[in-house]
Amino acid sequence: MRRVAWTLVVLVLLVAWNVSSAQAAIQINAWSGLSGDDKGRWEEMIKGFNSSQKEVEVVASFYQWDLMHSKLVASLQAGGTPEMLLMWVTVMPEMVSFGALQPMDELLGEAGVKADDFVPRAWNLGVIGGKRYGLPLDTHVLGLYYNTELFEQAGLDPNKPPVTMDQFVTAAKKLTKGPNQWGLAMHTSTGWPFRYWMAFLQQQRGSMFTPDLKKAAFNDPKGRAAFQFMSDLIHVHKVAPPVMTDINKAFLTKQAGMILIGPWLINSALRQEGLKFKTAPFPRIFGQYAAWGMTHQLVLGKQPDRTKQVAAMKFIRYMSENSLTWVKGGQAPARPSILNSAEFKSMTLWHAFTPAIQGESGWVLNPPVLQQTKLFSHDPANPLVSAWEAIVQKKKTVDQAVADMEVQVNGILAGQ
Amino acid sequence: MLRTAGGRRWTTTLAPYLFLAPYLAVFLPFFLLPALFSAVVSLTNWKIVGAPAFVGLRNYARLGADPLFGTALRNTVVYTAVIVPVMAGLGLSLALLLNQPLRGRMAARLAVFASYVIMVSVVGIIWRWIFEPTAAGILNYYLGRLGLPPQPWLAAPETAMLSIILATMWWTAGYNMVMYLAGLQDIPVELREAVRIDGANTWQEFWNLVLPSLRPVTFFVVVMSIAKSFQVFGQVWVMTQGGPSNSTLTIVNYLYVVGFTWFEMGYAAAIAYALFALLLVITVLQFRVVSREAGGGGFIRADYLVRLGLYALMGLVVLLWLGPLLWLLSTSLKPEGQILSLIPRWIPKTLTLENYLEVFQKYRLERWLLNSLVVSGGATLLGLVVSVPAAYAFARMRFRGEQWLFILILSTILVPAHITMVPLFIGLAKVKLVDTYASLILPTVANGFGIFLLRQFFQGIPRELEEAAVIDGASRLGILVRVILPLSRPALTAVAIFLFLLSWNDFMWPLIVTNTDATRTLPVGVATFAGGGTVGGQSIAYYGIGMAASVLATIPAILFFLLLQRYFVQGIALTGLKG
Repeated sequence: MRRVAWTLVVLVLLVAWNVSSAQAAIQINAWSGLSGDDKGRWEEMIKGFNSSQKEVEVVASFYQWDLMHSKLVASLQAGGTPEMLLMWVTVMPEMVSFGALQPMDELLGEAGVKADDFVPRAWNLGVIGGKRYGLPLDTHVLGLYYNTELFEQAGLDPNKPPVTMDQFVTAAKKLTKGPNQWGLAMHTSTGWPFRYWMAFLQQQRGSMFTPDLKKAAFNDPKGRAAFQFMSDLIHVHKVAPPVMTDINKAFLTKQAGMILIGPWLINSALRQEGLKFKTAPFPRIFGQYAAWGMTHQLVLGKQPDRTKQVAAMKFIRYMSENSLTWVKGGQAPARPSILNSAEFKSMTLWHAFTPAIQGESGWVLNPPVLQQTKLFSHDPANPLVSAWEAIVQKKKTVDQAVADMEVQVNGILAGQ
Repeated sequence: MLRTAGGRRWTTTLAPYLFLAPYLAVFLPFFLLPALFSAVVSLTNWKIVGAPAFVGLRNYARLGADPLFGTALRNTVVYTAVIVPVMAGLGLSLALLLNQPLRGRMAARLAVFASYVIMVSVVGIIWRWIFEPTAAGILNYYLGRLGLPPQPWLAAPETAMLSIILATMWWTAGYNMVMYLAGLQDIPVELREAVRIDGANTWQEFWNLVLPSLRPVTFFVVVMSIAKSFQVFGQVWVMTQGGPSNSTLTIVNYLYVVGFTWFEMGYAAAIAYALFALLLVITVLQFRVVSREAGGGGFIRADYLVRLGLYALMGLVVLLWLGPLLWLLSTSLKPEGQILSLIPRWIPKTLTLENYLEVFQKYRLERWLLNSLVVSGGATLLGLVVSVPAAYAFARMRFRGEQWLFILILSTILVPAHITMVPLFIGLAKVKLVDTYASLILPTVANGFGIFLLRQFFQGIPRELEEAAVIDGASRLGILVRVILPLSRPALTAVAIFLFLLSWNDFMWPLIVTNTDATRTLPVGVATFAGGGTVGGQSIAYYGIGMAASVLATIPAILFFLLLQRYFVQGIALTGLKG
């Protein structure tokens, strides 16, 4: 006991003695909820920025996304927000409504940032209520990963990934062989399946909400057909397992011939020993191309010091211009300069996930309702998640599930 | 004459409060203030930012009409009803087994204890792996080898809660085991001998002596596990997020969603205080029901055959507890591209240290480690210093407001930590204490479980020993230091271990209150690349680095346990009560 105590006392003293060094540069705190691969890339880019100049020093902090949002709001209440954050574009309206973000219109010219630098839709998404709050760091849409080895074994052409509903179902059937090999892996909980559903709805030119975003508009043949197709993959065609908690792992271990997910799996799939795969655009199950996607935006925290705002914008500009490093980690570009670079052109696996290549009009984002976290999160308290769970577990028919979901979504939109 | 008498009365009245003062100095600002703040918040529609509007009891009325709260309450009650008796039984069995003079019992204790040291995010990764619902899941793979069909485990509403309970048993059994080990050392040797001379068999000895004498520990274990089970959060969040179909949604899970993703802090606070009220009633009832008396006890006697059986049992324990730990170790030694495989591979095809090298190259692990040591060490030392006199006051002194104060201190265990976090953070930010060691250490010190546990032990110490000291003219403080403390080594050790671990494994508070590597602790640092950012079942982290880092993070806590666990072998029976 005594020995432990002494060791600890010595350690405490050592640390107290060791604290802190002098800083001359303007310090900018940069928050994000990144982890894994993405976090490594982000840190690498910040290191690059810090060593490229002497006036601004960026300090990175990492949280889980939920906690970052809460901490941002709590910090605002306590009177001190970070100068800069990375944020999902869909969370921004809520954060703007809290007054947590700083508009950047006036700072753009000074920082030398202009609209032409970005793909149009990604650029426009940064504007909320007529003011610009964010610059896109990246874009992405979901796409198809398929195992070319399993395709060949099943007598499918590995150079012709499925596009139509028929092709997709046929391929999935041929790929399904016993309990350890399925045509497709789909999560049977979480928010991913309803992201497919949103794409299928859009492929039929259906709508999730009424144009004023006040009510649900999906309880119609289109909304039901989208879920029916997904349900049939499990229950009728039996090409997707009825229980599935990790589709990435299922694909990497060859338990699934195909999965639909974002570009962030590319590096893991390339690393995975013995895996042969290709990527293709999200299939056009209902005719038109549409795929769910997202963009990370670089935003300013609300704080009055203009020197710091300018410094943060300088950093934001650097991150944006050097975002090829970021894209390599498993995202799609937001800048034409990167899209047109020889290096990205050679990164063909990435193209299926790039809205600017697949057509920005088919890029389905969460509609900009304020109740984002209640409607689009992954937890089963969310009515869209629970609708899919009920369908998978055969607790409800598709019609019932969609009808119940309509009631719950309307309740949330009405602010209950 | 008069003056002396008056002076004595003055010190006797004031003494208990003086004994409590150090603890209260931490308790008031770091627990009570934020707790009261959030109690007020529960009467408002506060969304963290802006001025809250008073809504009366509307948040509480909403609880009754909210089907999700109903589901969460039901799930939590079921979970608690299963896990509390199971864990108490398991902890006692493990302690009895590993208290026997068996060769290798140290290693077995360590295996059980080591799993308790694993960070919750890593527990989630390992057990999601074990419970994978496809035929290729680790558990399902071995079921298949036995000719049994694959089970859906976490993926079906019927089996999800059971799976979480199994994982929790593995993860937390070490806690109760250590409590009971400490309790067993409290049983005087001569009582055990006396019973044997009377011709009692092993079963009688256990039933009539060991069990009754463990009553104060059992009481502590049950009260603590009910409080903890009602607040179960971490393992559920990382394994199922409350799904599928809300079958594992627990109260604190729901509170977290409401408060931290919906920002409805008012309603979240109402959920927290409804839970608190329920727990308070249960806890107070427990205090009423259980008698405080403690008898003597002994050890199980073992003849040759029984001993053989005990070894077999110990082997099983080691196997069950070591399995997932070995998987963790094995994964950390595989190259990233070989980690995921269809058939579980325990021995890496290619053995590599690249994950460990990368952890050291890429991350400031040594700084996080230092921070964790300072924070956990500081919390342990300070926690002991303030808890010991407070516990002594509750165990031996009578004073006004004693019961109320004790309940107030118990509420540090009964109020969900998630609800005091936001007000505490805002308060600390206003006084510029965020991102300091103090902000990490003091909230842990404010936790009252150490007082509760030590009080249970102090009450078991025979008063005669103190009376002798009083006759010798010792002061209250003198008695505490010279008589009580030497007799309480196992309990002090247990409190030290758990204060250390409480701080060492704490994740969400350090994540919120630290901004930089200067104060970031090990779990926070490690989590940013080990599944801390798992989004909707998407394991997009590097497995190898995460596993390597968590192996490294486990080592200091295990060393700490090794260093202290010898106190479970000697005990007060050897130091105090002989003769």
